[in-house]
Amino acid sequence: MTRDQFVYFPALSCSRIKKHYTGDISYAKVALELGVSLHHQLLDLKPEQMNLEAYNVHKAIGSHPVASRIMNGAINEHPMIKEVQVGRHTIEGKAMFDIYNSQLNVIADIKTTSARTLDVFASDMVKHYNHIQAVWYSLIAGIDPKNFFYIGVTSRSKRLGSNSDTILVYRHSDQEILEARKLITGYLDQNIDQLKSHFNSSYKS
Amino acid sequence: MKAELTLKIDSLYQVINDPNNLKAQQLINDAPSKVEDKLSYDITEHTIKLANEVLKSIETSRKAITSPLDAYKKQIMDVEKEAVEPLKKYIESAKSKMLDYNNELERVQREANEKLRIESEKALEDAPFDVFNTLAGYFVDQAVSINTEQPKNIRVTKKARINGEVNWSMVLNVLFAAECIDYQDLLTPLAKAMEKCGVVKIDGIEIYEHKTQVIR
Repeated sequence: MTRDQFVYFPALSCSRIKKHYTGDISYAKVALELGVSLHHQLLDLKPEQMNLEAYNVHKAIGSHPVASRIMNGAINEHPMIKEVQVGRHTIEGKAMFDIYNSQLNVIADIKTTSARTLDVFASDMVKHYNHIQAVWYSLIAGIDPKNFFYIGVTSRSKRLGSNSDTILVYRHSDQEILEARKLITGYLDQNIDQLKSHFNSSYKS
Repeated sequence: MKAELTLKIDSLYQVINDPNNLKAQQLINDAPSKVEDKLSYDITEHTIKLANEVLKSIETSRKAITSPLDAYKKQIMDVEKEAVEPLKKYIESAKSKMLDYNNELERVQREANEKLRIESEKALEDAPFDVFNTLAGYFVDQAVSINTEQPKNIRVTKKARINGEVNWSMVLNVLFAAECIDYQDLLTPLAKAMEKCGVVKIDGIEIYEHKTQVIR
């Protein structure tokens, strides 16, 4: 499945749910485009093809015990479409995993971040409703959301000689996962009919 | 300290309009426009001297007015200095203590991170697939728990200092490439420096005689 095919595939994505709560985030366009560029470098290219910044990040991730093990043998940019059940709703969902390690049953998502510390990074993930993404992706992959990890790329990790300290790896707490489930359910409670007509897909309520 | 300051600039106008000075200015107007023989050279030399004299008398008169101003400003600044010096000293010392505290926190965080990194590296390297999630999750949660307080308002800037034998050629190349220095800044003192060090020739550099007319 190509990226375009994935984008236009009629199924519910986490970005649609997140947008319901975040509203318009066009102010973050520049930051998001920079993130897309780094994603492309890190996930689509071989190390020798990467630009210097991406290569430094690649090396830093490689020196992080958790991040490197997750990336080792994983599939990058892996699309998945699956019927998921959330509360009393069943709907076809889609997700594009940055990093999917089927052996470890782990998903990881690369996030560029301005945070310098893990607590700020963790709080940013919730503030930007990324815990919805963690739970949604986990539902589609059929894994425990505790097996969804963020790999936070800081500005320091782009520098020459950056080490594992510059990579922030985080997974959500039980409380954050519970909160995300409520947000997803709340969204579906309000929008399931609209989604039904939009996707014209099979669902059960 | 004087409470008032009276400025008398009439004296400056008097000097500017002094008949002798006006006469000198007239001589400047009549001075030869070209220096092409001994006579025109001598006349020009004489005129420069006259012009310098006028210049100095006006400057002296100006200084008579502005010197009290400078002294007055200095007195005001001394009053200010007396008041602000203890505050500045306190701020400097307090900031230094805060930076020490921040450095200590960073050290604690660095050591905790390193300990956890070594521990997790060892544990995760050969962890079977079925226990990886539990272990990785444990270490990630641990990393969150050892996260130390981060003081606000710390600006980190990079600076350079010498810690060994320096490749000055590279230093200059980098500074030139980044347009941080102008080559003229290096050329101005170069001839004297070469003479002092007994260096006769540097590739790409010409030592030439630059002349200045020094009549005062």
